[in-house]
Amino acid sequence: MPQPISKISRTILSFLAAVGEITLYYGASLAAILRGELDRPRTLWEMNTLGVNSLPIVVIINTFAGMVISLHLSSSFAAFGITTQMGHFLTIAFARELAPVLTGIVVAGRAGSAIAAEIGAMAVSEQIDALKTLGIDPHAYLIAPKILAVFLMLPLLIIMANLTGLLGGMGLAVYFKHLTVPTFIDSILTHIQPWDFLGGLTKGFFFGLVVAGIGVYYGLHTKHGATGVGIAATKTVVAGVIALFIINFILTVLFY
Amino acid sequence: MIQLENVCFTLAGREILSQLSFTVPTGRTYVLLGPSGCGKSTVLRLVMGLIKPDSGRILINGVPLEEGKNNRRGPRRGMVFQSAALFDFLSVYENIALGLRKKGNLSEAEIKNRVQQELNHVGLGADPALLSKTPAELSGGMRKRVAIARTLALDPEVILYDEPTTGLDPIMAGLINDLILRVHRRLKVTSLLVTHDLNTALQVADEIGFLYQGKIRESGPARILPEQAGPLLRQFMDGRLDGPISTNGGW
Repeated sequence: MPQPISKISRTILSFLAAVGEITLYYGASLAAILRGELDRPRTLWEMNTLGVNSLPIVVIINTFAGMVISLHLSSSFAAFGITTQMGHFLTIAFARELAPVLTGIVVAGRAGSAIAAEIGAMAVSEQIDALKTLGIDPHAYLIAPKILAVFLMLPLLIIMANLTGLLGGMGLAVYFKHLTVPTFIDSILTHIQPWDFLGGLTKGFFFGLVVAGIGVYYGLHTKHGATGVGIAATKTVVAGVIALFIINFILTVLFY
Repeated sequence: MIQLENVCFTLAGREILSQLSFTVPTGRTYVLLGPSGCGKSTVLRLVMGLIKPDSGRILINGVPLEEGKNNRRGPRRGMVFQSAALFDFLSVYENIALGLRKKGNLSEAEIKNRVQQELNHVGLGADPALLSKTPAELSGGMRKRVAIARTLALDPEVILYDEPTTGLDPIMAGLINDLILRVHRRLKVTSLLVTHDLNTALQVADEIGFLYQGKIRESGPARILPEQAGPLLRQFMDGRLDGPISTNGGW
């Protein structure tokens, strides 16, 4: 087989193998949950570490993103005399795309890399093997809590992202562009459908699964000590963000 | 009893173990000696069931490993890792209690008693503040002792030690060796220990096997093997560069 084709074949095969392995993590984690073996205290701890602790950065990023979008929209909309529609357009942008994607990127960067680094450090220092020797299923104790935590917390973070993004946008429109709060809210209530928000939240569940799964995959495949841990964290962020944009496109086509 | 019968294991195209066979009788301590990278730790990981052999059989108390895995009443095995492998995110108490808690049949008071008892056995029971410390706050020797306490807490019939004295000063190494001997005398466990430290081997072993190029090349009772050492073991004991053991790896 010519070298480029052979290289492409190997890349596709290793990608499919990774997808298969991540699917197995989901299966093993779900099985552990169904058997009642999930470590609940650890799951709550992970929800706090990976989810709640991501809240400040999610709030800051989405507030400023809302303000910037509002700034751009207000100038363009004023030219067409449709500034009363700002709430509507800003909400569409945030609920459907910006809140899920920006929050997904934050979680991929913060939580995804943390998952890969922690599991990676445990793998290279034999701690995962030590769990097995104590008769503890690493899926029930270590992996399922992380996957479940990100799966549940990412949609909650998206709710906060919507709230803060829209408040930021509304604040800018009201104070700098002299739009009234009732006008802004009225344009949201008149035109926005529940699915605009629910679709965005549903994306959050998918993003959570993907980000956590990729983190676990690179963590468990970590080799070569501290350098390997750094590489695993970097790969997780890069692969997580790419996967997130591709999945976002597919879900947007399916949902809207 | 631990039995390895014609065990072969290959990693990345390199044959690590080749038709490896040896037996550790019940209640005895067998030390697998050999140069770094010769596959000693691989043997422990195979016996622990962390990896599978390409071929051959491993039996614990006469039961093949695969059958024992499916049997909750199979032989209880514990392993002390080279790096101690304590969980960074848990305190000393939680590290030892974790396995006990997962067994599910002990109350918290019983777990607490057991943790204290095992820390007493490894000589760390006098300091109550130790319980809340994390592994990062412990010295290398203390980490090893906590790792031994964690293993003992699960009441194993078979204990595997991976380079228990590596990286320790001679006094701490002596203390760990003494602890291994005391554990052996008290619990009458079957122990398999791998090391490249000759002092450790001579101090704790009932029998020594010298692993080189995937097979046991020399073996015998610890008290007489050094005098009867063949060229491989002799070169290893003397630390000479010239001899049958290649110094450029590949064993």
